[in-house]
Amino acid sequence: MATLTVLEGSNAGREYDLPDVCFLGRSAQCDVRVGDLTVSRRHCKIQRQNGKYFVEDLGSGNGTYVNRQLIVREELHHNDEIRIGHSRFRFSDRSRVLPAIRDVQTTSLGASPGQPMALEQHTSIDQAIDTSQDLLLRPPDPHGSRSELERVYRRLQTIYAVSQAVSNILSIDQLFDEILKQLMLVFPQADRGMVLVLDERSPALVPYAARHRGASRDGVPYNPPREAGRGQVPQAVIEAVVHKRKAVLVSERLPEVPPRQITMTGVYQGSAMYAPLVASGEVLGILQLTAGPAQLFHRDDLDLHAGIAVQAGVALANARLHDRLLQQNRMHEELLVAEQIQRSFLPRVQPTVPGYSFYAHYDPAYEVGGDFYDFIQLPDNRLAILIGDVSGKGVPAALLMARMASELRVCALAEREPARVMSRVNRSLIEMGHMDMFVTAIYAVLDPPQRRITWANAGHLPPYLRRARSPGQVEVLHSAASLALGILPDSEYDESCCELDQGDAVVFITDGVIEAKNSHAEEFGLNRLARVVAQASSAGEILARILDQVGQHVGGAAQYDDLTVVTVGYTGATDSWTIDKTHRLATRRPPLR
Amino acid sequence: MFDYRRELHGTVTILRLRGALDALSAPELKREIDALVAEKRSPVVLDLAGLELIDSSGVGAIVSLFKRLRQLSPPGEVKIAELRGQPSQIFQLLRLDRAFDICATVAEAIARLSK
Repeated sequence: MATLTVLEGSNAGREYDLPDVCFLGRSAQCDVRVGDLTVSRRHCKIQRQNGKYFVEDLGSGNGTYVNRQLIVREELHHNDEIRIGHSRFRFSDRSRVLPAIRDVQTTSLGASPGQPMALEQHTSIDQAIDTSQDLLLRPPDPHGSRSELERVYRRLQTIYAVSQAVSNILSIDQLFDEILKQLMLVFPQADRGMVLVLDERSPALVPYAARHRGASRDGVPYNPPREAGRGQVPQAVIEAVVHKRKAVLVSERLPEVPPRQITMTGVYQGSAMYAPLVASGEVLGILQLTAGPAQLFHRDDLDLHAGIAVQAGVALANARLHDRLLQQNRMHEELLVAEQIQRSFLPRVQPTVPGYSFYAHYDPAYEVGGDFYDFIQLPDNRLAILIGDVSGKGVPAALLMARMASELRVCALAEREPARVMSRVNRSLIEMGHMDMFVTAIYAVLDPPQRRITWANAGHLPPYLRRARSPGQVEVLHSAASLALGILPDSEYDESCCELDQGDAVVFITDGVIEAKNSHAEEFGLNRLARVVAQASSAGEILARILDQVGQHVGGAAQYDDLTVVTVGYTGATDSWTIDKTHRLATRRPPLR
Repeated sequence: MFDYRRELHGTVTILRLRGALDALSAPELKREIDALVAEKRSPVVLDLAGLELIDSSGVGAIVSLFKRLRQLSPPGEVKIAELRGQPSQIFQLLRLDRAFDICATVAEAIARLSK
């Protein structure tokens, strides 16, 4: 049975059994669904033909890669890596694994002049498992010595103890310590054992757990210095273990070497065994065991050592998966809290100003979004309309948005001119010290009797004005736009204004509207938006049409950005100007994913 | 796909960005920015010739480099060169030209650095 394991991307660690035809992509109809912006809706497919598997790109936007090569159609082999967008997969087809090369190489390590020559034995990892099984399953030689029988028995016990530990202990630190303990017990000549794990992001080897012999049969745990990974394992050994997946036995050859030394950083001259920690064909680290003074490891020791390392590798992969699941749960909880906080900052009621109509729609792409809008009642019956977009996504953006919203309410009441409100909000944002975040926003003030809207634009998409007197046309209120908020402490903001006639409407949007993509990654775009706005006749109709058209454009494609629309319409003259907060806003609560 | 390359040109650090700088790749650049700030690298010229696509997280990363270098004492300097295509449109929309000194070429950026 062939499987596909997610190495990187959504659901990392998940393993899919491959059906005869399997589609990969963003669409919900795909067998392997990838929540990644850079992946097309139907990105590629894996198909089984005559017992072989082929991957085929389906005209994706960013291409399909097999082992870093861009492909159109390619046969897959066991352990091939497939990458689409930012997601990586490992293809496994155990039924077709070629038998391991069964030779034992004896080569000398590249020793520099003046250094003792080292004798090195490689055992391919597959063989190491095989031979250690042989050793255990082979009936004891009736003519063999009693001590040989005991030795085999002890080894069997070790394998058993390690597999017990692997299935029972979830904490990886505890598990590694137990494995080292068992190694110390079964190899009386061992002096020091260490588990080194390859960092998931950098190629560094990090010591995880270590035991030294001390005065105990099963050794004493100690904390290896973090930097001990550097220089701990000779480069030639790393090459063989990590890159060639071989177990390596290094033995000193020249007898005239000065007394063996073990330093704190552990550069060892003597006898040592190294075996790869492997899981699903991937090397995750090294299991290292060094012999005490005047002690040596032998060839069959290496087999057992390599067998134990395989178990440790599987355990490490399991523990990582477990951690990842825990983290995902925690993140989900965090998102729920952030969503509640954020929702509490969005207006729950629609302002009612006689002669005017207001509509708003807010739809975050994820549980929480970076978009926001607000209506703030100001002195003199004026009304502030606010729309904005916090850079970034997820919880940090949501929390900054919440702070923004409260900050703006304060500033809106403290200052009269929109430009001054913006300057003040900008300064507070700078003081909050979010280095990698900024906010684009429009702060507009509606003066109902004057039928005038005055606004300051901080790097946001311009508003649209649809004039009743020129049907079928739309005006983009380009005018003054200033630097986004939260970048420079002394930014100046310009103001613009327009007067509304009966039937006119102003439309504010966030970039989620124009960047909404269909399955061909084609954006909704400014032109479509302008057409939709031009064709509608009222503020309410504009909002409804925008949502309808964006929805039709996107079709089944997933939404990747928050989408917010606020429309304001002037419906007719009136002489009473009060804001009554009684009507609920037309916001839609998206389903939680 | 996104990658970057750091080069040293006399005292000027040139950071060349390539590919798509978005929510997925920005964390990668942020690590490099952390390193630049920790090493107090200034002046820095960002060569965006190979930058095909940027989103708000990407702009956020560049803004953070700018803001953090400015906080050094003496304040560090960032110049942007070879801005074109979609990233150029985004910079215009956000009016980032008001915050950054945007130069046509890397050579021009180096020439314009305060001596």
